[in-house]
Amino acid sequence: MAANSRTIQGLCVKLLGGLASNLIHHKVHIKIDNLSKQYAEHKVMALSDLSLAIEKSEFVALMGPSGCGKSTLLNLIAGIDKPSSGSIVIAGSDTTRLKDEELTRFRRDKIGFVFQFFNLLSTLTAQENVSLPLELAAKFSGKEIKERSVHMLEKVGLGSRLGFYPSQLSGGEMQRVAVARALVHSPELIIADEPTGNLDTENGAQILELLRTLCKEQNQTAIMATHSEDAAALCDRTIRMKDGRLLSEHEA
Amino acid sequence: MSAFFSLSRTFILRGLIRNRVRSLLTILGIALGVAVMLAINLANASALGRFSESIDLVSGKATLNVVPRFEADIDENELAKLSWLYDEFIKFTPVIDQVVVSAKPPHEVVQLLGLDLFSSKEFREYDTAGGNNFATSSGENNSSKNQANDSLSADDPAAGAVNSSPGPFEIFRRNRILVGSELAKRENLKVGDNLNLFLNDKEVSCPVAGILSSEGLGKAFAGNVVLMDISCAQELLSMKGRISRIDLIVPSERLTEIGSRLSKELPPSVSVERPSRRGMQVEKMLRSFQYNLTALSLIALLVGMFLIYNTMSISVIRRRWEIGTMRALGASMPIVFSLFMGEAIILGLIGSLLGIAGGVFFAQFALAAVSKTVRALYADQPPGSVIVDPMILLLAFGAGMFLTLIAAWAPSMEAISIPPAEAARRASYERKVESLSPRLALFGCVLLLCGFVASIQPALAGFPFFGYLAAALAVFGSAAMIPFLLDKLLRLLSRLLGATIGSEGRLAALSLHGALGRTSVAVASLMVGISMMVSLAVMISSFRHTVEAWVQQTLRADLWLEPAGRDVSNRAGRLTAEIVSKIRKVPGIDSVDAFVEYPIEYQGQPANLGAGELDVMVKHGNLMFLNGEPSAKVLSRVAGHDAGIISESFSLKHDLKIGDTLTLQSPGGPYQIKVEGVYYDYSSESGYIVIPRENFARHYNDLNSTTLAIFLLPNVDPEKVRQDIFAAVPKDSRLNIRTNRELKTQVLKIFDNTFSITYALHAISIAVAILGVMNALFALTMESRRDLGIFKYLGASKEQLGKLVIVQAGLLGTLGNLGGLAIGMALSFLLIHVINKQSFGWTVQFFLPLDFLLQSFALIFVCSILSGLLPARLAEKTPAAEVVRSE
Repeated sequence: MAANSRTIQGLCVKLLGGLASNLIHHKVHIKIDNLSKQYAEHKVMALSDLSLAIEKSEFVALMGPSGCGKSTLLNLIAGIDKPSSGSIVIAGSDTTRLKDEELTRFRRDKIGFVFQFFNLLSTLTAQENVSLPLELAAKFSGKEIKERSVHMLEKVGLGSRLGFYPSQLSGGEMQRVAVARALVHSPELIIADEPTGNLDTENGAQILELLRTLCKEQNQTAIMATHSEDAAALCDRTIRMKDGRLLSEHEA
Repeated sequence: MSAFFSLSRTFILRGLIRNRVRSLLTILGIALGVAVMLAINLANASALGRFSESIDLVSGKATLNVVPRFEADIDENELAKLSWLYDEFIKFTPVIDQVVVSAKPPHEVVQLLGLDLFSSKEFREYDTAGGNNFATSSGENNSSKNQANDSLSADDPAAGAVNSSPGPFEIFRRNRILVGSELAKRENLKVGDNLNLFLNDKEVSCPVAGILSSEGLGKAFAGNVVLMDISCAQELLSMKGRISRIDLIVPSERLTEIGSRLSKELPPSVSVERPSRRGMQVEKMLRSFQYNLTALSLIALLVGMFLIYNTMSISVIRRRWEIGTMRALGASMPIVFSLFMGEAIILGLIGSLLGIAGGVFFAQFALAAVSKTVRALYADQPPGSVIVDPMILLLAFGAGMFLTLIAAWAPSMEAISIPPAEAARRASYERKVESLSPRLALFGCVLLLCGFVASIQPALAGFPFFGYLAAALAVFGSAAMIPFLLDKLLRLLSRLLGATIGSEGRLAALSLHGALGRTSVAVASLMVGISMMVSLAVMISSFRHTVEAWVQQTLRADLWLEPAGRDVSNRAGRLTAEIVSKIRKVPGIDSVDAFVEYPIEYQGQPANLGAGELDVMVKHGNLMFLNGEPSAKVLSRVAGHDAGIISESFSLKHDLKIGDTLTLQSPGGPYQIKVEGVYYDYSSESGYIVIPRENFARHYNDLNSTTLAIFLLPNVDPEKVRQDIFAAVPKDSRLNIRTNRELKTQVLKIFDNTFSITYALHAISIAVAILGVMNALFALTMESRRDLGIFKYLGASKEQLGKLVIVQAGLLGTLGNLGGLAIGMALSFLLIHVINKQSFGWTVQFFLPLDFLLQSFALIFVCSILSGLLPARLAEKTPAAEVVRSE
């Protein structure tokens, strides 16, 4: 009887464990294992043996002093750069093993970028900038592209600035356009590199709130590099870095 | 100042090195512009300089000349009327000065001088290696054999010494000549050899008695000179009792006094003038041609200027951020301004210096082409080497630097007008251009309107100044309209390309539209280069087609005959009346129009007087008259009257119309001619007056002919008649007889010679256009690196980036081509109907060389794509993170 009950108990633990594991595996969106990056020309370890997991819909802040490897990590996750070793699995696929073409397609379809200096194309209007990811995807009609980009700009409060060029917009407005551009094609992952770094506190807070709201609304995962504790406080989790590696909670 | 120097090292030099491809293309553009201008100017000056120098060397110490007024030569008895000059201690000597050609191909043009070797010793020196004077030795003192020996060179012409193994009196024997060392070298002549010359319709062997040194008279006409005793020359040239002129040495203070006494005592058939007048006449004759050539060469420099403007504008746009930062850090406006001007000066300096080296190198080729044109159109001229005049080098350098500074001025002013806060806004300049574009377009319209007004103004002192002004206004006016036109066009194209080649096409057009300032500068510089190419192509082919049509229409005779000497160049070649009458008797000939022509001076300008047999011209000829009247009708009005017809260029030069009367000089006194018709003619720029043959004989007592137009009876074989003519004339007659077809081919060959320098300019214009394409595209795509990096972040594939850049390049190439075609057409209208008309007086029918234009456009389009390939490859390899971060 005791043996039976132990067997049943064991079975239950196994079942529950499997369920939990399945549940956990399903929730993890980004899994980084032993990631290292060494720049050949500088012989400097920008990242060393870094492992990390980020869950679906999680809004994560990445903090650390300048030069600690935040941007390098973001570029590696986005597939802009290649790691020296280690793996990055996003939504089940190891991006470090993807060929250039696959990586480009992956970036185009699955990732949205927001930069510190906005990086809008000065030669295109706000609406044309927002249309870019849809244009590059080459799977939408002109009408659809226009509708989506206008809708997105309206969502970020710039419905009246569609035909404005970046030089005719304020810093806060430019970053709103950048946010709209990052989200317009509904990517699974948003990468933001110090998105408030070039804005005043009020504008910074507004952009962050906007980004957070929209990501949550669309169930998108976001990783944001920042120097601001206030900004980090608004995130679900804060990961701290130093000298190319993650700090433990204790170290932080 | 120290701030300027330290900043210039980091700001200018580093920038130039970092953007080395663009720097190199800009330098090449300036170098090419300066080289073309310099080469043309050196060639012009050398062509004229050699002529003047030769005239000086031949004139020697003579300060006055007695020359024929109406005829080719003067009676030697006039010398007897000058005996009073001995009492005044004034020396004088007769001279024979004729152009002949060597019989051996390539038929070099040779100046034959017949001198009185006794009396001419005071006048000119025939330098020898030993510094002795041939005339002194052989003339004044007949016993001084040694000195005579010194004057004639040994067998080695290259030695430059003069010696005569046959002895000092050899030169006084029949047909003996002293030969210029350069000619001797080229014809491989030694003392004792024969130089065969074409003289009228004869080929004559002249034994070489000596080789002149390469100094003094031997240097005249680039060494293409032969010297004879005057009596031998008279015999050789059938000029018994005639001389070309009399040279006199008159002290400068007595020039006026002696000059007026000479004029009084000599008959009206001669005039007294300064030797420099001949040089001035040549200069006057060539002035229009040379000015036009210089002006055309300036277009190349103008393209260079646009290249500098392009480079500097992009440099300023690219560095707005840096300028703002420097201004914020306290850099004064003058420092920022000088930094940009400094950058332009470095580019201009290197480009101009390279251009000078290139110009000197190309000048030899330009001179060969210019000489061909001068020889075909104006005067016999022996080949020569380039005279490198430091003033011209300085002028070319100055022009290069001046245009560089002008081109850099506007971008540098733009640089200092940037407020520090504004500079951070990357594209504020572009928005400024966009908002300014309607006003710029309006300004462009005003310039174009001014250009139109300028184009209908008359020539200024014979030079089409307003025509060139109109051309410059057309170029600048159109360039000013470019931003406005592109603003509208690129929006439209973005939709069109989006629908046809997809989003890359749409984005390419949108990016170009967004960078309106940069795109406009690139398109404008491309356009100017292409317009130069188009306008020259249209002008040349229009000219050629007009001449072809004219040749078809007017050259009707079955055979054309002229003395061999004249055929290869000698304008003085003549056929005697006896030969002509022998030819008339050849069976199969229906009629012969024996035409004679003389160069004359009309109202101080060179012109040609021709005389033809009107009855033959009425029966067979088919001259095209401006008012469309049939040839026979006009010519029948002329026959039997003191009347004539004039060529279009003569009519325009002297403002003469039908019904006007003109007065010509003749040995028998002045006589008048009523103008009965104005006909199209493309054979002479100075123009023709044609009168009936019998009137000519009456006024000038000359029965010689220069050309025979022979009309055959029906069904007679021209080849047989040709052979019969050769059989009918004396064995030693050297005639050139061409069939109608051969003559037409020959005329077009002469046309091509006339246009050889224009062909060269045309080839250069294509190179300049391609350079413009490369510079503009390379600059534009290199400037887009950051944008391409962002595209990469956003997921653009390598193919998409490559396609984007190539479409941009193709778009720029196409827009430049279209703009260049439009302006090129306008420029060619100006060149054909205003500039050439005013310069040369020729009506040219507009003709579009479609095949050539299509080929050129294809070439430029391919070059555009090729110029886009390198940036496209770079774009594909752009390290996105690095570019976006560093920008």
